[in-house]
Amino acid sequence: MQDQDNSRRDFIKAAGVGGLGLVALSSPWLKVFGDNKANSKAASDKVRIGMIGVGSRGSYHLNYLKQMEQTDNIEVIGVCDNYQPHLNDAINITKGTAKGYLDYRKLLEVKDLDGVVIATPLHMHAQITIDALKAGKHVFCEKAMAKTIEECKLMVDTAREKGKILQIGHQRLFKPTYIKAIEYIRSGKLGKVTQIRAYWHRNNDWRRPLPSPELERQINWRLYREYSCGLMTELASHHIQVANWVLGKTPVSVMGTGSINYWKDGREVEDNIAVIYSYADGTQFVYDSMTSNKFYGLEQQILGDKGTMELETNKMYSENPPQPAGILQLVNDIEHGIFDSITVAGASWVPETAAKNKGEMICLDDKIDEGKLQLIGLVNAIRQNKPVPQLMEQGYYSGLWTLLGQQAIDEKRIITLPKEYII
Amino acid sequence: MEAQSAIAIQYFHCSSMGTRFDFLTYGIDEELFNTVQQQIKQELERIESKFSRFAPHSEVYRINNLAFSKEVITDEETFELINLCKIYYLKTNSLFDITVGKKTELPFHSQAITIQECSNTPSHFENSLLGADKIITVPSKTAIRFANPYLSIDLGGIGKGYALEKIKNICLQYQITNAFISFGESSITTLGRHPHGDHWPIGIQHAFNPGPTIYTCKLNNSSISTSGNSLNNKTKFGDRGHIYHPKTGTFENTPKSVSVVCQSAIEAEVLSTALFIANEDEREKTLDQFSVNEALQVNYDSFNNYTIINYNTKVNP
Repeated sequence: MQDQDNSRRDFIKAAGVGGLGLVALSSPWLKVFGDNKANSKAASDKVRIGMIGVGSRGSYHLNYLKQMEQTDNIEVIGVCDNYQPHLNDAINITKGTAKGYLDYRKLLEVKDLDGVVIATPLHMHAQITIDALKAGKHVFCEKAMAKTIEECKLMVDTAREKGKILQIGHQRLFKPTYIKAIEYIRSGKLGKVTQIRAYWHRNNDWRRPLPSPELERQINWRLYREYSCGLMTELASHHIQVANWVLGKTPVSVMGTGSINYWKDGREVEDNIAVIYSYADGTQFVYDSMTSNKFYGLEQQILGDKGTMELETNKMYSENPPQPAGILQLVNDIEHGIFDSITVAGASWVPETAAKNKGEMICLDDKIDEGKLQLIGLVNAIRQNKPVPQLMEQGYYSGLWTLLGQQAIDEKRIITLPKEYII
Repeated sequence: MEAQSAIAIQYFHCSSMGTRFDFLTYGIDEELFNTVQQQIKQELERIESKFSRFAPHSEVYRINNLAFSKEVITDEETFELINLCKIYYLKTNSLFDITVGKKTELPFHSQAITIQECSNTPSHFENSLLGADKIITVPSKTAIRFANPYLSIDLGGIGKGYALEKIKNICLQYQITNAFISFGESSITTLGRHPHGDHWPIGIQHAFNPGPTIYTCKLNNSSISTSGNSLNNKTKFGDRGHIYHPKTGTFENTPKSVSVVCQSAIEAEVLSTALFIANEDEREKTLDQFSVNEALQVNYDSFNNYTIINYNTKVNP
């Protein structure tokens, strides 16, 4: 934990002083760490946060926020959930310091409240976000942004109209491996990127245990189209955001297909999907997700004519690989159960020109918890009282193209973006 | 298909002593690893700031600036380390010498200096004034004095080995029994074994034409250090080698490398430097003074051809 804290401090410091070079262009939201006001510890600059939705994801955020009360000049003053057991758990996490609410509108009436973190089921994101923005509160909303593209646009329009922060919870935007990878890609390390592939494979029914049967739709909301778009909104939206970030643009069209071919248990969302996004220069982003095989797990591969990156596992492979440093080879060998000699030429002076391609790590120091870092970014931005550059846009276009992907699956046709949704 | 390993690796690296430091262990508690990592980093910083001859606040800098004009009282650690270097000076037939550091400085900054000029830089007169035996030590006061103004101390030839021994002790203090610890992959020490074998296999590559390993050393609670000339040295230092011969006053530029495996990281480092410049007689006499597992010399005839001589393995007298 201490090491994580040290890494985080170093990272924030580096980001704040603009020492990240190309990163400042490719990840401009990191500037949020650089302002003195943003890091102020003055009592008058304390940021007061409310949590709306404190189930599994919400309590994950709540735990971070409680840690940040010790370090980041914030206070969690209210927690809200319409499911009493979750609300009780949340109040316990705060050791009773936060007031509990069953109705989020009551929480929004609290005058001192600066911002809210929303981690409700997807179908509630838009209404709560818009109500919060209209109440003068800054908003962090979990991904995916909303359940319809109309809602996404309305959320953005409201945030802009009210001059409030709207941050969508794509934590990879704050993960050092991804930030480093984008920096490398922008600097040409992979050459021309012509395809991105990603997959998220699980082998389970995606169900949560039910205290009683009538709670099925409330607890397992991810399985029903009234509340969610399933694999697209709950999983794919992460990788769609990263693909857009890698390429520095958004798609021009999407095609896709999906079905329920395994979990025929009454669910309404697909248990397997495949979508292909096309970008204006012909680059493709190919994505698939399934819930009946987990052998390949989770990965996002960036394919360029000079190299490949596997972002989820922090690996980079050159098409013409240099000899990996012995230590990196050793790490790779151990991870793959290989007992092989640790190659040194006798010194750090070996020309790096050789042979086998076992890959190398993109980022050597990846211990920073991006889940916490995105919340530190949020409270810093609230303290500065101004939107973070390009952060809302990342969430918006990810949300939008996630939903257009779902539309392509539903309607079995190629979908393009209506012009009125370009922001 | 490779088997996926369930072994949890704990690894960190940092920059230290002008090169990259790597530490790898496995199978220990994460909190413990974080504690050890912090201690190792602190120890590296401490050693570097104390023994660097370039750092104005270092103990070595202070000694170099004062020890000719007066007796310098130093701390016990510094005193013992300098004394150790004096012992190694004797045991290596004057080949390991901490007083020749300044001789290597000038050419570092000048690409224009030729082998001839390098050879001519130190005069025989100056050479006769150098030598660790001319550092006067007074144990009762832990005091250091230089016999002449040409002397200065450079612990660069032993510092990494010294740090590796210190780090090994930190590991043992925390019951870490398996670790791979490296400075720039030229000075390495190990504890225990590789998680998938009974030792840490260290492969030596062809220095001018890297490819498959040309020799593998087995390390288990032992250390390896390598000194050598390569393309990179020539690029970096000009068209010459980078190891200074204290007796001839020249830089050794033969295309070769010497790797020494023994228990002590300090002695591995001392010996790889000494044996690199030793003639046959000096090599035999030096090896007689130490207990080494392996002493390898790789001679490079061309970009493809090489010969390996294993001088090995006389047991300590």
